[in-house]
Amino acid sequence: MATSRQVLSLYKQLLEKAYKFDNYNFREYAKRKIHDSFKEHKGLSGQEQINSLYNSGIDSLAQLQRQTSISQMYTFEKLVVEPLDKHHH
Amino acid sequence: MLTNQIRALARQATRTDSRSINVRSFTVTAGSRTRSVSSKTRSIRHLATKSSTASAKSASSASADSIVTTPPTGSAITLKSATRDESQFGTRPIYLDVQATTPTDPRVLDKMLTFLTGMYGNPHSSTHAYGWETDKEVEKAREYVAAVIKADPKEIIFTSGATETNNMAIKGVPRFYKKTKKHIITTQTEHKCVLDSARHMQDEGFDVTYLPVDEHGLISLDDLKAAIRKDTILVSVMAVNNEIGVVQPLKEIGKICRENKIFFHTDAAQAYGKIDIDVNDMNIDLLSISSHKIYGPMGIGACYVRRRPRVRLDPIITGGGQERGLRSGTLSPPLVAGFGEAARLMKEEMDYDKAHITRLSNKLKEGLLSIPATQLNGSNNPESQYPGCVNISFAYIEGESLLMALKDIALSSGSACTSASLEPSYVLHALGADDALAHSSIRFGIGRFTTEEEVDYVIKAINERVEFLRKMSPLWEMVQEGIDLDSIEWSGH
Amino acid sequence: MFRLAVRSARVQMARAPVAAAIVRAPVRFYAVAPITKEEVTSRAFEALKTVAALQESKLTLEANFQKDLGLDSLDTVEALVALEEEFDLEIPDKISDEIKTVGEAVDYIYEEERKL
Repeated sequence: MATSRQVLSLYKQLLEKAYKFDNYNFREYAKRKIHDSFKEHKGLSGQEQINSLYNSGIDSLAQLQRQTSISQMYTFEKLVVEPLDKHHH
Repeated sequence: MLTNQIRALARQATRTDSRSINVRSFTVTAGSRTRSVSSKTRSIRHLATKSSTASAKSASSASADSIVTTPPTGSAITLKSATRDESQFGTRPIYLDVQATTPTDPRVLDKMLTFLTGMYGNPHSSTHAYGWETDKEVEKAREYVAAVIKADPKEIIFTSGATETNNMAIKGVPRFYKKTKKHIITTQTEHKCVLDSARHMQDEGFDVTYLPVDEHGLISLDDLKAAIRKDTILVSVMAVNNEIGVVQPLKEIGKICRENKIFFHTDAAQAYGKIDIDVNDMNIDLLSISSHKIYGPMGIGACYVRRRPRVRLDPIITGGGQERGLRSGTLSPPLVAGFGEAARLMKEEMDYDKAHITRLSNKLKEGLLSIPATQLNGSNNPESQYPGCVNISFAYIEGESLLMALKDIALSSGSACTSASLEPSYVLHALGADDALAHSSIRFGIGRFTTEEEVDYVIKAINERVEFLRKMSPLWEMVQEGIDLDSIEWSGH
Repeated sequence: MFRLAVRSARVQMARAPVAAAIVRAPVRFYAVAPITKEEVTSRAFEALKTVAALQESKLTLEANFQKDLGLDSLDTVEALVALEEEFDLEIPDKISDEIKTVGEAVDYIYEEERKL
């Protein structure tokens, strides 16, 4: 049974991974999608449903791990909307 | 009044000269009539368009660059934005051409990699586990592709893409029934591959009716009914137009076709997974799908072929009898599985994507149509317009030169297949647009991965560049000075 | 000790991709002027502004994420991840549970930054 603490931890891990996309459009999409999916199901109380969503979230986390790695291996120029110097150094 | 006009025109001519736009071929003859009919307007605009096209063509990039980078004397604005430091940002253009192709979704790539690494069996090998496991995945993909249009998986034939599928349907069905049927109906705004296949059938002795469209790009159902003959075998009407995004009344067309026992094919390359399609409810008999328009891999597509009542067709590719004998050849499991995953995601995320795309589309339209003398091409009725395709005409500007001034945004003035030529869009022509309007239109494609930040950037950039280019346009200046372009008679040929 | 080891492993991982490292990874191996609390605060505010739920909010160090800024538990996680991203560090669950105000987050980040 997935506790709310586990769900929040999964949310955090997914978001952290989403930021790792080198590709701007995939990164922004992943952040938006993760945010919206969790918000959509925020009020869910059925344990079975929560568990099934939690499990698919775990699968997504593994997928994100693979795909962000690939995105970091094949990089392209930054887009015209992307600041080059993100950390102001 | 007349002398004033001549003076104004003379002034334009000299100014234009100094701006190295080739309009010297103009000769101005002020006629005695001051009001003129629309055909004259057309010739003026046509001329203006032609001259800049000619200069772009002849001196190629050199003259094109001079159009773009040399600001008119006294003009304070430049093409680069004054409000931000360009060196602080990347250089890769924003991608706004999703009607041409879409980026591959990482989830699709993830699926495909399974096949490119370990699961390499031939799905047609029935003697070992490698074949079985791949075959199972291929059939799963077929289910996903079918589910989007509420079809039976057995009715999905994998092909190399929508072009092949369109060929297969438009050539295959009439050829099978050629003994008794001799007539095909399609529209003037179809994709090139449909029009070309239809032309091929004309060479084979079939009659083809090309239905006209109204100013929004929609066909008239009465026209369709009137065009039907006893020997009509096939009606092919695209679901969503690739240039203007207009959605044809599929259900009504399907009903008419079924009543007349005519097969109904629709090219749904731009519609599949983006608008609601139910092949049974809409009485669709054949439907073309492309994978790379739905964030899947390139090089694969599908044809939906109805089984009850059965649609028969002459296959174009024959051989081992795969895909119910309608399309022989070994399937590519990585492509099929990627396509299947892309289709599954389209179905699962249809509402989510639609909400996002509609929101960005409305924002973009609002931001661009607030520019004076702009016009939305397509339908205003949300029921018959796909929001992810926004086609706008910017009067007194040539689309190609606007595109050249927008190197930081990947856009198209129409179909990718025709953008190599500088010919105006035949789709916009069919809508009744004159050459100038057809030349000054740009298509903005919004998709799953487009961000609000990108749309904001595009609105700002287009506003700036349109203003810039118009400052160089003699026609625009005349309009600003209150001269009615319709009241002048030009001749330049 | 264990945390340090984890940290160094993580940093190496994040810097492995060459192109990404050039663009993103801050170079902190050499003598750089030590980061000030003000700098941390202003960068933290900027990062928090990227969180949808905080775009309209008035940020102060005293503001409590949930009580004052009206964030739910999901939004709070999002705010912390935005901070992690900006400062290229990871806030362990144990600590993030304790962080209730913007100021507490800034304090933690400031301490971590000084350790580098």
